[in-house]
Amino acid sequence: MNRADGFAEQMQRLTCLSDGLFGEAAEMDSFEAEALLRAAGMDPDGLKSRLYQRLDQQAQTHGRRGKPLPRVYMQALDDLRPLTLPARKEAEILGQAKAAVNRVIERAKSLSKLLEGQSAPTFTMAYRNKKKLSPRDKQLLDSVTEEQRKRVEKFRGD
Amino acid sequence: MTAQSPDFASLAVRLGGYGQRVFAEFGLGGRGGTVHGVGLSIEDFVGNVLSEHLEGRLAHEASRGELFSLLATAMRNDIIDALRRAAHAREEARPLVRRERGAEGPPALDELPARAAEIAALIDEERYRKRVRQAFAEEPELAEMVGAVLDLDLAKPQEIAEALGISTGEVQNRKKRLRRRLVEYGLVAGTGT
Repeated sequence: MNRADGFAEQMQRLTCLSDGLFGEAAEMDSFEAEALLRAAGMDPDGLKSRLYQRLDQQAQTHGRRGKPLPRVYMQALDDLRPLTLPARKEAEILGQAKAAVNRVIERAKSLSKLLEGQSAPTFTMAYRNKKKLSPRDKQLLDSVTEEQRKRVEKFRGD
Repeated sequence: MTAQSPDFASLAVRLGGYGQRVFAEFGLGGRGGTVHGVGLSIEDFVGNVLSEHLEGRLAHEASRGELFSLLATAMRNDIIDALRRAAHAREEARPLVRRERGAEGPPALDELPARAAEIAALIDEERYRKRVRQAFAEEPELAEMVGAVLDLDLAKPQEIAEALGISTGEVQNRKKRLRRRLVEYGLVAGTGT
């Protein structure tokens, strides 16, 4: 085994240790990543904005060389383009709006994932033993309970 | 099979967070931190790996897992490689240092001179283990996790959970806490000797 192989093997072991301790890369979702960036004094929006500028500059270099930009490159620019920048054309406004809506949907999905695996909330039935409640009261409370249960189940995607 | 295109804004943030974690592992600091001698920041590494993918130099196939994992792994390797290059750049700046002729690949890390060795120590396994132990020694639950991985050589959440008598969910929670602490305080840079 030459030294280059030795180094690769050493780095592989280090990566295994790191994954064992801190988890694999995929375990970090965008919520956690944002929190980690902020904890380190880095603004996530600032990061996206600077990455946009960097990719935009590279795109202009491509353009000057007469090279067409891959479609995925254009999409990345659309996704990263700060909302504070004026949109270049109508299609871009549409693209920005779509990306923004997709992000909101993605966040909603992530929230619902957070609830997955947790046991369903239990509803107390203690009020049923209260003698001063009228049948009408009980009926009302039962319907509220049922409604809340359905809302929770719907949110969890059951 | 080609993967469906992701939301690059979210991808960039995740890569930034992961870069922050890797920088903290090697004691490279936060926002202003760069790899010594190479001068590359987290943003540089994220930007480079994104460019490589967008220009088709780092292709992704859905059958080989999530795009984020591919880019995160490539970025981690880039950071480690930059550290190695920084160490060797220091070495090359010292012409009187003995170098083996005809040796394949770069010299072993422990053959490097003092300042270069200091950088190389950041990616030395034994010193990495020592820095991790020191960093989490005062938090019993986290120290317990560290012990399970470093002493018992466990990696999978299920194995760790069984060894520690806790649920796999708790293992994931502790890993998350380890990541948070890691980024907040970092592993102490230096040789750790």
